[in-house]
Amino acid sequence: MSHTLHRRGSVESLKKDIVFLALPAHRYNDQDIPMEEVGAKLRRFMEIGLEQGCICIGNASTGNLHTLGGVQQILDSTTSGATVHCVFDDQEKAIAMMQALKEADLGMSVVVSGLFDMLGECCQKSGLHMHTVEYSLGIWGNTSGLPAEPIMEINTMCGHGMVSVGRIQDVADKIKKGRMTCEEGGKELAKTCTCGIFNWKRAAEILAEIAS
Amino acid sequence: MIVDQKLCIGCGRCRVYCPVRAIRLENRKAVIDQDLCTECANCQRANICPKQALVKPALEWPRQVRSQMSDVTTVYRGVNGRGTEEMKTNDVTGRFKKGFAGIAVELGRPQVSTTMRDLEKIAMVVAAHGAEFEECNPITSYIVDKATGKVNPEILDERVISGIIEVTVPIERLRENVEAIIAAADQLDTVFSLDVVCVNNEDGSNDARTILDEAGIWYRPNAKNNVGLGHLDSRREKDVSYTA
Repeated sequence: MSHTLHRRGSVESLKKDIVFLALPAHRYNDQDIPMEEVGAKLRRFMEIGLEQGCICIGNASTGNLHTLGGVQQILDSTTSGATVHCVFDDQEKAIAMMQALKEADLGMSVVVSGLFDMLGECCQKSGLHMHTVEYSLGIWGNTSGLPAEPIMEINTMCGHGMVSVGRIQDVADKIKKGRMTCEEGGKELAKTCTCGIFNWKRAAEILAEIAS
Repeated sequence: MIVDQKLCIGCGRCRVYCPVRAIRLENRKAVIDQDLCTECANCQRANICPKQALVKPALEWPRQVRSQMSDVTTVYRGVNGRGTEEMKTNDVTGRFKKGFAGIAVELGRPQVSTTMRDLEKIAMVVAAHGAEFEECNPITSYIVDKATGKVNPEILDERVISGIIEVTVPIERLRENVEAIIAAADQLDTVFSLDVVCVNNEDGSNDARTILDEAGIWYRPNAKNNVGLGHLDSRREKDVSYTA
C-alpha cells in the first residue's frame, strides 16, 4: 500500500521526483477487455511517458531497464496486466504527461506520487482531478535501527526495499574513492529495483551530497 | 537462501546486496543467517555471484511465508509484492467509498524487517477499534480471527522484509484508529509506515485530511494520488488509439 508514498527528502529534492503508475483493476478491466488489449494500453502508457521525457520506465511483473536490457524490451514484455511505471524529474513534463494521458483515455487507473501541492497544480493545469488520495503519516516504532537520512532517501525510492542499505553505502564509498561517478552510482543502484521505479537521477544527486 | 559452500569462493560481493544484512563471511565463505534471511532472493537476482553459489531451496511451511511476503516476484491476487491494488484502482473498483477511510500500516524495512509477531500486535490494535481487514491482502489471509486480529500461531516467528496491514474504517473512527496505532509503536521491535486513504469530495476537499488537520496529526508533504483516469471500456464513448 505504500509503494512510492514514503519517499523522503527536502521539498526541493522531492520536486524532482514524480512517479506515474498505471494498472488495470483486477477483475474489472481485465474481464472487460482481453488481456492483450490491457497489455497494449499499458505499453501505450509507457510510450507516452517516453514521449513526454520521463527518465525511466518499468514493469513490476517483467522487470526494469537493467534486467530486461532496454526500453524496447520493457515495452515488448508488457503483453498483459501489470503495474507499469514512468518516473519524471520535472513538473512541466509531468503536466504534459497528465494532458497526454487525459487525451489518450486508456481507461487504466493512473496514480501519481509526489508533492501534494505541486501535483494539485499539475492536475489543475492538465484538467484532471484527484479522485482518491493516500497520505503518509510518517515512520513510527523502533527507529534506532534505521540508516542515516540520506541513505533512507535513496533506499525508500524502491518501494519494495530491494535497494539495500549496504549496497548504497558501497556505491557511495566507490564514488568517494573516485571509482564511480554519481550518475553511474545512481544507475547502478537502480538495477535491483525490479519494478524500475527507482529515480536514479535523484539518487545521483543524493549520492553527490553523501560523497561530499 | 543458502550459500553452496562448495561453490563459494568467499569474494563477499553478495554481502552488500542483502536488505537485512543477513550475509556474513565466515572462514572465507559467505554464510546466510537463517533467522535474519527473509527469502527475498535479492542477492540471487542481483546476479553478482561469479560462481552462482546463492541458492533458493524449496521452502516448507511455515518458512514459505517469508518468501511470499518478501520476494517481489511473488504475485498475490494480481499484484506483485506484499500489498494490494488499494487506492490505485479506486476510480474503477470503488473500494474506498465516501464515509470510509483506508488505513495501511507497513511494518518492517528498511534494513530492519519484521516478524509476524509484531504484525499481529498492530492487527490486534485495529481489530479492537472496529477496523475491517482487506480481504485481498496477503496478511489478512494469515489472520485466523478477524474479530481479534490474531495471526496463525505457526508463523509468528517468521521474519519478512515487510508486511502491510490494510483495513477500512468508518470515517468517524479514523482518528481513534490512527491514535491507537501510533500509541502501540513503542511495543514493537521494528518500524512501521502509516498511511491514510480517502476519496476526495466533489469540491476537492478530503474528509480524512480534515480529520487529521483537526486532530493535529502530521502528514508528509508528498502523497499518492489516483487521478481518476480508470474506467471500463464499455463506458467509453469515443474510440482511442493505442498500440495493438
